[in-house]
Order: sequence, then C-alpha cells, then structure tokens
Amino acid sequence: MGGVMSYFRGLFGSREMRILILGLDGAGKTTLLYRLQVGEVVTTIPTIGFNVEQVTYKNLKFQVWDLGGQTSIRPYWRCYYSNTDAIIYVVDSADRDRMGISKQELVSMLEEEELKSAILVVLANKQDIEGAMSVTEVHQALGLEALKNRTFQIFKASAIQGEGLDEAMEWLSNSLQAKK
Amino acid sequence: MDVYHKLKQKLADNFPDESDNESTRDRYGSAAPTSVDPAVLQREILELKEHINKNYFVYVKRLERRKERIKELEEYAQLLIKDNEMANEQIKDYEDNLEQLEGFQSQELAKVKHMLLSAETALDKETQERKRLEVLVKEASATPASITDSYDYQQLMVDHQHQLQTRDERAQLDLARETDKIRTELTEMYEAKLARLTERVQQQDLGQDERLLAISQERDALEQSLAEAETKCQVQINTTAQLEGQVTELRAALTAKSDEVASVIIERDRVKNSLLDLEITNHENQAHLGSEREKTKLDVARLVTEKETLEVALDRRDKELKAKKETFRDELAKLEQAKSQADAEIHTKTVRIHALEAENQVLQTTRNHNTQALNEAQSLLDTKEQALKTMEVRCCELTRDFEAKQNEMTQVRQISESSTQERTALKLELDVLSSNYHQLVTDFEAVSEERDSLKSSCDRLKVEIENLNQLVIDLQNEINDRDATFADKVNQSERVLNLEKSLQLAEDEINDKKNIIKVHQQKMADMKKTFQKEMRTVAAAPSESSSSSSRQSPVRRSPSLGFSGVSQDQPEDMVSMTDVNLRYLKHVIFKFFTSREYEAKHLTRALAALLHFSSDEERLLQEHLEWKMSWFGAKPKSGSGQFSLSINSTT
Repeated sequence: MGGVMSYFRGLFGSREMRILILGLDGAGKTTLLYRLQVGEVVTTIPTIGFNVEQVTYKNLKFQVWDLGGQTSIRPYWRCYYSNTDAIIYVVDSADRDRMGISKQELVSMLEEEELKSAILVVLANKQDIEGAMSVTEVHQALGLEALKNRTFQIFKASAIQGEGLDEAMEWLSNSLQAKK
Repeated sequence: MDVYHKLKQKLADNFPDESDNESTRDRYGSAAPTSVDPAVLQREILELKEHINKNYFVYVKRLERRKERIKELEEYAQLLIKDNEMANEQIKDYEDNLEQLEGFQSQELAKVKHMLLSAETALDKETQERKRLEVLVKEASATPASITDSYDYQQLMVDHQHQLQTRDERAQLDLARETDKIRTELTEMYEAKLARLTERVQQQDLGQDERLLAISQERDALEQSLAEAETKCQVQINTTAQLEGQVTELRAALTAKSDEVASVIIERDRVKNSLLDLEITNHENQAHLGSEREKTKLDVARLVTEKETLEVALDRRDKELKAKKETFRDELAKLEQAKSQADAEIHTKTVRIHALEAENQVLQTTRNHNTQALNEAQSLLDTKEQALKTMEVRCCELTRDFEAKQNEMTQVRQISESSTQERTALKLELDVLSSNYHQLVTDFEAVSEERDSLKSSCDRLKVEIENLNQLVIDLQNEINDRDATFADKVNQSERVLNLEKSLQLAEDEINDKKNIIKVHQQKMADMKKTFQKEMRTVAAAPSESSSSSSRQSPVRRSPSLGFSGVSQDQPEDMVSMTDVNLRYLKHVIFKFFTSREYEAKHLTRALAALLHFSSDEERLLQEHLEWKMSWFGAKPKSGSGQFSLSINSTT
C-alpha cells in the first residue's frame, strides 16, 4: 500500500522543499534569494517582513522564505519554523563586530524543537570584500564545532559575484534527497 | 674672480676673528655661536647667490653673444673663401678663354698668311703666263708669213685658252671653297665665342657692366671684321666675275680668231690683218693684263692693308686681353689680398675666440670657486644652524631643568615648612606621648597585676576545657553510633528515594530555565542596544503614530516572543517598535491575502503572534485554510454573529 502511495506521489510530483534563509540584517539574504531565483543581482532595501519565492534547482522545487533580519522583527522568525526542511543561515563575513550576535541568534534558533530535523547550511557571505573573515574563522566564530546531531555544512560565498552558491545548493539538494 | 674676492671679503667681514672656514666649522661644531646672526648670514648668502646668478647669466649671455659673433665671422670667412674660389674659377675660365682666343687668333693669322701666300703664288703664275704669252706673241710676230705657224699658234692659243679656262675654273673653285671655309670657320668661331660670351654675361653679375660693355665692343669689332671679311670675299667674287667676263671675251675673240684663221687659209693677206688684229688684241690683252695686274696689285695692297688692320685689331685684342688679364690679375691680387685679410681676420678672430674661451674657462673657474665658496658658506650656515638648534634645545632643556628645579625648590620649601610644622606638631605629640607613656607605665603595672590574676583564672579554665573535651569525644562516639543506625533506616525508605529523584529533576529544570533566562537576558541586552541605535536614527524622522503612544499597541508583546523585558516606560522606543510592528503586520497581512494557501498556512502563526490570537482562533484559521485547500470535507464551525468563536474568545 505504501509503495502504491509513493508511486502516486512520484506521479504528481514531489512536495516543495521549505527552506528558510535567516541571518542578521544586511547579511545578504534577499540578494541571495533573488540570485537563486532569477540568477541576477537585484537592488534591495531592508526587508521589513519577508520574501517568499519558488526556486527550482535540478528538477527540485524549493519554497524559499527570506525573513527580515532586523532586531525588532527577528523574534517573529519562530513563527515560520514549522515544517522547515532546511535553513540557510547567511553571515556577513566582513561584519566582525556583530559575529557574536549572529552566533547567539544561530544557537537560539537551533535550540528550537521545530527545527531539530532541519538541515543547516551556513553561508560565509561577502567574501568579495577585502578583510572578510575566512570560512574557518567564521566556523570558529559561530562555534559550529559544538554542533552535534545536525546535518550541516559551511560554504564561503559571494551573492553579488555568485560564487559558492552552486556548491551550497548542490550539497543542499543532495542532502535533502538523501534525507527523503 | 671679482665675485669670488667679493664673497671672500664679505665672509671675512662677517667672521673677522676666523681666518679659515675650517676653524669656524670646528668652533661652531663644538661651541655655540655668540655674536653672528644666522639670519643676517643667510640674507648675505642669498644676496651673494643672487649676485652670482646675475653675473653668471651676464657672463653666459656675453659668452653666447661672442659665440654668435664667432659663428658669424666663421660664416663670413667661409663666404669669403667661397668668393675666392669663385674668383679663382672665373680667373681660370678667363685664362682658358684667353688661351682659346689666342689660339683662334694664331689660326686666323695663319689662314690670312696662307691666303696671302696663295694670292702671291697666283700672281707669280699669272706674270709668268704673261711673259710666256708675250714671248709667244713675239714669236708669232716673228713668223707671221707661215700659215702653219699661225695654225700652230692658233692651236697653242686654243690650248692656252683651255689651260687658262681650267686654271681659272680651278682658281675660282679654290677661291670659293676657301672663302666658304673661311666664312664658315669664322662664323662658327665667332658664334661659339658669342655664345660663350653671352653665357658668361649671363653668369656674371649685373655689377660687371664694364666687362659686358668691353665684351660687347669686342663682339662689335669682331662682327665688323666679319663684315669686312665678307666684303672682301664679295670683292674677290667680283674679281672672279670680271675674270670670267674677260674669259668670255677671250672666247669670243678666239672664235673670231678661228674665223679669221679660216679666212686666212683662204686669204693670206687677210692673215696679216688678222695678225695685226691679233697684235691689236694682244696689245689690248696686254693693256688688260696690265690693268688686271694693277688690279691684283691693288687687291694685294688691299689685302696687305686688311692684314695690317687685322693685325692692328689683333694687337688691340691682344692689348685688351692683356688689359683684361691685368685686370683679372689685379682682381686676383685683390681677392688674394682680401683672402689674406680674411685669413688674418679669421686668425685674429680665432685668437679672440681662444682668448674668449680662456676667459670663459677663467669665468667658469671663478664660478666654480664662487659655488665652492657658496657651498662652504652654506655648510657653515648649516653647521651654525645646527649649533643654534642644539643650543636652543639645550636652552629649552635648561629652562625645563630650571623650572623643575624651581618646582623642586618650592616643593622643598613647602616640605621644609610642612616639616617644621610637623616638627612642632611632633614636639607637641611627643609631649602628649610622654605624658601618655607615664600613664601607660602606671597602667602596665596595673595590667601586670591583672595578668597575674588572669593567669590563675586561665589555669582554672584549662582544666575545665579538658573536662569538656572528654565530654565531646564521648558525645561524638554516641553520634557516630546513632548515624550508622539512621543511614540504614533512610536507605530502606522508598519515599526518600522518590523525593531525591524529584529533587534532581527539579534541579535540572532549574538549570535549563537558568540557561534559557541567560539566553533571554543576552537577547534583551542586544535588543536594548539595537533599539537605542535605531532610536537614534529614527528619532529625527517623525513617527507616524506619535499620537498613539498613549494608546495600547495593536501588537502586544507576548512573553514567549521575548518582548516582556523591553522597557514599556520608554515611549520613544514604543513608538518605533509599534511602527516596525505595524509595518510588519501590514506586510504579513498583505502576503497572507496575496499568497497561495500553502504559503498562507505558514503565515497563520505569524498572524496569531502579531494579532495575539488565542490558540482556538489560530486553530480555526488553520482549519479554514485547510478546508479551502482540500477538495473534500465540511466547513469548520466558527459560530455566527455575536456567538462567533473569535469574538467570544477575545471578549
């Protein structure tokens, strides 16, 4: 019976993967979303609210939510955690001052029960800026070595130049298919 | 050099004590400058520099001017040399022309001589012929009777006539040829000469009018001589024509004679007559020949005169040529003189150039000296400045030291004052202490008495303590025994175990809560900071809901969202928060209505959080959305009117 159901599910197409793009304000979440959707760099304004777009990558459909990262609206993130398959956590590698806040937000987010099974992709964004922290530095600053029982990977990226996004999406789609 | 001396003198005036720059440098290197002002020195050095620069420019300009003049002179000398060369070439041309002219002259003379000789020979021949004819006439007159003789004579006459004719013809041809030759040669020669002269005239400058005139005169003379030669030729042609006429007459006579001879054969008598006629004719011929001779003589005389005139012309031309030669030689001499003068001038100019170069070198050496002196003065100034600076630094240090010393002095004075005050105070204290000491001595005595009494009491107490210790040991032994029995009892009871477990759980919970509280506190601190930052930026912009600060925010902060810690007693923060929350709510509602149901379903929680829905309301919203999304199923009950679930829950 289950085989028949899965067959029909395959026939009608797979469910859209729900992905949240989170991170502090100005980390480049909206730029990343539209880079993934239309492959272009768009001019953005600070997101008060969210942006949701459908992104197709290698015949996989993703429903990508880009939630505003300003301090006042960060508490609303938890309203969107349910049924989330993956989280793309974007970090501004050049913003060394707020790396601690970013770490706190990440840790408090990962503590949420609804996100226990979500795959985590950390993007060390803005690598094109001179003096930006390297991947290892970001890894250490976010305390990712302490993460256990979590499928996660960190990538260096530049949403403006489109570097590192393909690798991240490749890994994410492979991980999501493996998880299914 | 003057500048150098001036500089030296100035330096000597500035440093009267020092004879040498080295000594001054040593002096200023070791000690400070005392009397000389470096500003004055610098000013003087600047003046000297300006003076040197000015002089240098003047010398340079003068040198350039002299160089230009030298160049001009050299150019002039080159021009002179060129002129000289040109003159030499002209002289050579003239000499060549002269030689050519002399050659032509000699050729012409030879030709004229040859012509004269040929004319003389022709004359001699004619005289000889006449003599022969005379002899023949005499012979004929001697033998008039014989017809045969006459016949022979006639034959001889005919032969002679023929000979004469042929000779005449030959002479005529020779004459014509010679005249033609002479004419062509002369014309060619004169034409060539004319062409050369015209070329020369063209080449030469307009200033040489005299030469041109002389040459034109020469040309005119030559043309005249040519015309004369032509006229001579014409005359000769006329004479030949006359001779021809004579010959024709002779022929006619001869035919007459032949007729007469024919008639003489018939009539001898008539022979005599004919002989007479012949004699007459002979006489006539003689007369004619005499006249011819005279004519030829006249011709010869004319030719001689022509020759003389030609010789005179040649002499004249020789003279002219000599004069020209002399003039050319004079010119050459002049040019040589000019050349020698130019050479001398060049020599003097070169001497002057050498002198100027030497002067230039001297000036350069003086400039070098000056620059050296200037450099030395500069170095001296630098050393002085350095010394001055060191002195100033030392002065500053000394002033600082002096101030420090003064301060120290004042401090020492203050300290001394305070020490005197302290001493007086100490004296007073000492007095007090001595009084106290006396009191203490008395007290000590009393205390020693008390100690003795206390010692006795202490001994007593020690004994009591020992007794008490023994009592404690006994009691401890008793407690140990009782603890052993109590532990056994406790371990046996299950209730205690349960209590311990619950206690541990409670402790774990408390720890978790503590951790959560810590995280929330960190968040709160972060939020406070960011709010303050945002407030600073937002404070300038007028808030939309400044009036609504008093009324309650549409979105209340639930403790679960971590807003409880935000200070509610800060109205500005509240305004900004409500502004942001309103904007967020607006956005979420807009998205809720515009997005697909699948997406809207995920927005219910956000809406519930923003609008503070109750769990029932949130559930009802989700059910409605699911009902909208599904094809089957009944509409969820939400009540109606005032019994609506949402209204009931809120009220």
